[in-house]
Formats: sequence, structure tokens, C-alpha cells
Amino acid sequence: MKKFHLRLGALVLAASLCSAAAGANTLTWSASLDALSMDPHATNNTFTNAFVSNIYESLVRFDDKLQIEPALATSWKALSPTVWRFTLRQGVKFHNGESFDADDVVFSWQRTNTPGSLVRGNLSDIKEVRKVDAYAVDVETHTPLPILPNELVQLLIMDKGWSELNRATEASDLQKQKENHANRNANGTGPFRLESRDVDTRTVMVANPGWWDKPRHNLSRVVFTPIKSDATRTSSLISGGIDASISVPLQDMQRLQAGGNIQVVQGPELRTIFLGMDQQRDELLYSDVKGKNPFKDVRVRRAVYQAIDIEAIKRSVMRGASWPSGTLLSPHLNGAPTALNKRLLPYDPEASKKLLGEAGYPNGFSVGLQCPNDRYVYDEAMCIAMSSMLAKVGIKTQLMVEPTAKWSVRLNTNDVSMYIVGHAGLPMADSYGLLKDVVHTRTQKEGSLNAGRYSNPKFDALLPQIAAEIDPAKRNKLIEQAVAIEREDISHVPLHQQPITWAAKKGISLAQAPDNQLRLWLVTVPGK
Amino acid sequence: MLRFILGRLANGLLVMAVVSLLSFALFNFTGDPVNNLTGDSATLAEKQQLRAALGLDQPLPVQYLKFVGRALQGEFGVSYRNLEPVSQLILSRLPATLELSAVAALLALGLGIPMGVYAGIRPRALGARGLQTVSLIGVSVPSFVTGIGLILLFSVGLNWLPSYGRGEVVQLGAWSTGLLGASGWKAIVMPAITLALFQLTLFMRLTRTQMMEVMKSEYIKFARARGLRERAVHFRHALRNTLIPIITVAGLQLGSMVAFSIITESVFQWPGLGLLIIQAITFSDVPVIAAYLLLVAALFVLINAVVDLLYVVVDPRLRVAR
Repeated sequence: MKKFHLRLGALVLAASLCSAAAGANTLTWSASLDALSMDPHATNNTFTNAFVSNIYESLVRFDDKLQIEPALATSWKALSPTVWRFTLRQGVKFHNGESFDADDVVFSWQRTNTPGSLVRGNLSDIKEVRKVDAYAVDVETHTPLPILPNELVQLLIMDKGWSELNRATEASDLQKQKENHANRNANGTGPFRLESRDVDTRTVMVANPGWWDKPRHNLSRVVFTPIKSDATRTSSLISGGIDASISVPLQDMQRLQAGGNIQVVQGPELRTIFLGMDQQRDELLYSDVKGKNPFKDVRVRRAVYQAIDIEAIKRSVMRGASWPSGTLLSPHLNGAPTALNKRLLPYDPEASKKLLGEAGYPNGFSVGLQCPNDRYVYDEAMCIAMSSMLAKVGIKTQLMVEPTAKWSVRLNTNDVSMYIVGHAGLPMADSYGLLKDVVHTRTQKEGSLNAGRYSNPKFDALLPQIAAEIDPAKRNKLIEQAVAIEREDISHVPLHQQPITWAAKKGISLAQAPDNQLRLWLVTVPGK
Repeated sequence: MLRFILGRLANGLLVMAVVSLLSFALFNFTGDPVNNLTGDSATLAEKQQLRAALGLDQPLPVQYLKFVGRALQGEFGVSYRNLEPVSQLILSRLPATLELSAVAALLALGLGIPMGVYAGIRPRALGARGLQTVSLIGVSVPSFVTGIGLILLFSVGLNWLPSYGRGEVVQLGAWSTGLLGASGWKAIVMPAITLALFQLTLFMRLTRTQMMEVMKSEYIKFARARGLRERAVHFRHALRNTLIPIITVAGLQLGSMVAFSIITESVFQWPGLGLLIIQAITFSDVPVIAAYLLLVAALFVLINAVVDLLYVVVDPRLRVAR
């Protein structure tokens, strides 16, 4: 028994010594949730996809300015409006030593079409991926798609051989009762190899010495530890238990900066938050107005717009960390019309009351305001502030604040009268996607986030043209036209872009990008 | 004895059936897993497709019967959140919670009962009165405040203990233990104190009250009159008679420590069942929630059965009645 204890003790000691020795250029980082799976095709969760993009790669990738750059493909050209040829990079090896070639690309495409692949929705414009020769593939789309590279970023490439060997040729499927090998094991071409995966505890990656690209990072080991509790995560940063965090609550910023050894990095996220209104029903669900729907009248919408003091929200609710917006599109999105990015109407409660009077509501009306309380930065506080602003002009809001799980069900079933929601224009970082999801008339394929069922045929008519327009200048002009239409018509009341707040020990450079993804291959820590 | 066991089994199955039905019905109204799985920009068509594939578009009674059918075969499905089989997931989290609960229970019982005995024997002593006042703090401070307070003191302030996680864990077959290494012990101290504090004060106050009552009884007077030593009076006679309510409460509290240590595990990122269930609820991970609540019901049934058996052991009068 004693020998057993001695051996065990030695083992534990050795293990702790080993981890201490490998400390050279280790980054320990944290976020509030864990990645869902290491299988790059199984989930459609933004954080998970960003996480595995450090292990797997696609033909192209975004840099930290959200510009497309070559990754596993070196060049591409359009052979026809719907067929593009991608020339693949030679000499690339997977983490297990196998070579990368066109077979792996075609295999990965097929894998994203298996039943468990929830990432398939992000690749819905692609019809087929065909092998031309060992280092070239053709990608065919259903209709002409000038931003195909933006969509291809989502198609992470897996090794055909490894997947066949480990019986992981199909994406992790929720309906099967077994676990897929790719769920906790990975074999990609990316800058980091997966060393171990302990869900909700620790995921360890090590640098890939055989990576095809020249590393701009200096990390040898990366340890990810999710910490759900905000206070614990902040305390761990202060005590040095973690080196960096990408989920920093705004109210902890000052505390962190006061310490002196931690720097806070803050920037605008792509996500714009806006106010939506039920513009389809003849009578609102949650209102005292009977027989008509006030939001169908553009004067009422203008009144709502002018009742909201977005600068006051920035000052007192967002603690100065928000970027008031004039459109639904962040200026960092591809094609966003920056000329229109100023508030359509000024904050003017008197004008607002006048408009309401003209529209036939001299005493205002009451309406329910549906908000989440755990989805956006200061979402609940923002709603409370807007509620009091609207009350000043006579619109008495009943706050209906709920957790995301319930609020998102409401959006999907159009169970709303007035609500806030946000969209980041991701995963393609392009204006078209946002306009299609948020402003287009709701159908089976469009308007997935258009919970108020706003519908404008003039706007809808422009969208297919935007989708098919190859010339970037003409495309941007069309986007500007479409945005001008829905902006004048106040399809939604834009509020602001919310902040991304990251924090790290002084000396660590995190290369923050507006899509809130941590690109480990750009991170540098103090050291060699 | 056989009648006892069979009776308990039938009782237990009934409890589990009711709990599983209620939880299944309720959790279908607290959120839609399809939204979490498909993401923001998924089209209506994609959501409907996934809903049908997962069988979530079928009427609730049908879904429930399918769940029961598979559960009876030991198949609890796959977690929507991290794609692992649910039974494997729950079993892998069990050691963390059981270790934490065991250490916390030892702390609570090991300190709480002696303190309660002391306070009960000499209720008017200064020490006893002091304990009474301080224990009010233990009962009224919420556990997340205790947890964060301990982190601020020992982790941020003194840098003695880690603020999250289990430390280095050694895998012994199916069990993973952190108690074999220094970092594991360092990691378990604060969560165990946080979890134990309320129970400790509860046991202390309970024991004290029970002791005070028992000490007034006739047989204690007779024992003293007979000349027994004080220690024998206090522990062999008085304490044993206070044990029945204490065992009842201890059983229920231990069960709730294992099943519902959600707050402590969230604050300390302790990878046990509490953290698992709260994340499952946020994600609307229905397979995990349904399986977990079934497990919890079974746990409480088991604990109550054990508690009833312990009564018989502790109280000789019950043996005669049987």
C-alpha cells in the first residue's frame, strides 16, 4: 500500500514539474463559455467556430481587419459566374503528418452535408466542390455569389485519411447515441495542435512547428479554461490565475485597469443593436390600442426614433463604450454605406409628442417591450433606460425582460410587439447577410431575424441584385440604395454597436478584431 | 426486511416517474434548444429541419414516452451542448461533486456537531453565546457572497489558493480524484468551506437545541444521580438521543449538496454536476436535464431509505416495534 502511495505521489509530482517546465510562452486564457465541440462541422456556434479555427483552416481566412487572405488556397479566379477555381497550397501537412490535397477538400465538403453537420446552413450557397487535380478544386454555387471567399471561411478542412481511420467521416450527429471521435480529438492544418480536451475544465493546444505560414505569434502552449462566473474570471485575472480574458464585464474595467499590471482592450463589435416593432399584425399583442397597429404608421415609428437619446444611453448605461449608429450595419462590414451612418432624426421629445398627436395618439399608448437579460452588453439596463425615455413622450412600455432561451423563442414565433435584437453580419462579415436576415420579408429562407415582419417590396427587389452583382462598386451602390429605403422607412430603430472588452496582462498583444474572435496565430506574449 | 425493501423500491419508482414527467413538461417551456443549436442567422427552413430530426416537433406525451422507453434501456441520448453521451457525461462529473460534497460534509458534521454539543451543554457560557451570534452570519450570508469573499481574500489578496478549478487531477480508472495532490487540496479548500458553511451552522444550531432539550430530561438526571461521568452523560446518552432529527436533516442536506451545489460550483468553476446542470438549463440541453433530474430523484429516494435504516440502528425502540 505504501509503495502504491509513493508511486502515485511521484507520478503527481512529475506531472506538476512537467507542466511547470513547459511554461515557456504559455498563454492561459478564459471566456465565459466553453467551446461546444472540437468537430469543425458539428456546430453553428460562433465561439466554437472561432476556437477550432486555430486548429483547422479553410481555403481562405479573415485577418484581424476582416480582410480575406489566402490560407490553404494560394489563388482563385472565377471561371464563370457560378464556378470558381481555387489553386491549393502545396507542401501543407496535417498535424499527424499526412499531406493536404484536393481529396481532403472534397471530403470536407461532403462531410458538411452529412445529417449532423449544423454548419451546413452557413455554406448553403455552395452547390458542389469538385476535384480538378491534386492541387486544384472547383467550387460551384447555386447562383452567382461574388463574396464566395467570405462564405468559404466556414468550410474547415479535415483530413480524409484520419477521419476514415477514426470512423469520423460523418459530422457529430445529435441523433446517434455515440460520441464521434472528432468531438474531442482533432487533426487539422492550423497553427495549433489539440493536446487535450477536458470539457468545462481545460483545453490545451500546442504550437504546430510544421505550420505552412510564418508565425506572427510566439506561443508554444495555449491553455483555455472557461470560467462561467464573471466575478471569478475577473478575480483570476487580477490574481494572475489567467493571462487573458475575452469576456470582461464593463463594470469590472476600472478595477482591472487600476491594478496596473492588466491592460483592457476595447473596441466596437460588428454587432449593431436595434429596436424592432411588430409591423404586420392589425392589432398589437401587447398593447392597449385596439383595432389598429400604431407601428404601421411611419409617424409613430419616427416618434419612437426621436424619443430615444442614444448619447445618454452611451453615457450613462454603456459607460461611454458604445458607438451610436445611423444604420443597422457596422461601418466595418463589407459594403456598409458609411455616408448613411448618421442618425436619421435628432433626439427631440417635443417633436416626438407632436408626431404621436398627428398620428392619432395624443395621449400616447402602452406597449410591451421584449428584451433579453443575458445576451447583449447591458441589454436589460438599456431597455430600462429606453422605457423611461419612451414614457416621457407618452408611450408607456411594459418591460418583458427574459433570459435568452425564452426571448429567442419569442422572436422566432413573432410573439413580439416591440423588442431589441442585434446582428453582427457574421459569419460572412458582409452587409448582404444582415439585410437579408433582418429586413427582408420573412420567408422560409429569408428574414430569419425579422421578428417584426417588416415587409417592403422595393427593398426586397434590390436584394437578389445585390447577391448577384460581381462589380464591387456597383454592389456597394445597390447596398446603399437598399439601406436608404429601409432607413427612411424606419424598418428598425438603430441604436449602437456594442463594445468588445478584452483584458490581458500588460505586454500581451491580443490582436482584437470586431468579430470578437481570438486569432491565436496573431497573439504575442512577453518572452522570446 | 424484504417488505421494507420492496416497499421502498415501489415508492422510489413512483417518485422518479412523477419527477421525470414534471421536469420533462416544464423544461420544454423554458427554452428552445433548436435556437441555440442553429444560431442567429439560420433560416426558418433549417430550424424546422433540425426540429424534425431531433423529434422535437412531436407532441409532448409522445416525446416523453420515447424518453422513458430509451431510459429504461439505459440510453439517455447525447448532450445537445457538447455532443457526448449523457450517461458518460454525468458519470464523468460525478467524482468532482462527490468529493466536494464529502469534504464539505466532513467539515459541516465534524465541526458543527461538536460545536453544537458544547453550546448545548453550556448554553450560557460566553463561548456558546459567541457561537450563536457568529452562526447567524453563516446562515444568512448567501453562498456566492461567501465564495467571492473567500476568493478575494485568499486568491486575489494573499495569492495562497487558486480561484477556480480542481487543480491537478489523477485518473484512477473511472474515478478522477484531486485529493492525491497538493494542488487538488488547495483547490478544494474554498469551495468546500463555501458549501459547508450553511450546513455547519445549521447542524450546530440544531444540535444545540436538541441537546438543550435532552439535557433537561429525566433519564439524564438519573444518570447523573447514578454517578456517571459527565463525558458519558453527554456523549453516550444525550447525544445519541439527539441523533434522529440530525440524521434526517443531514441526509437531506447531503443530498442537496450533491444535487444542487450549483452556486458553489459556478463560482469556483468546479466541474461537477451543479455546473453541468446550470449550463444545460441555459443551453436548453433537454437530454442532460431530463437524465439529471431522474438521477437526483433516485438519489433522494436512496438517501431517505438509508436514513430510515439508520433510525433503526440508532434508536433501539424502533427495533422492538418492528
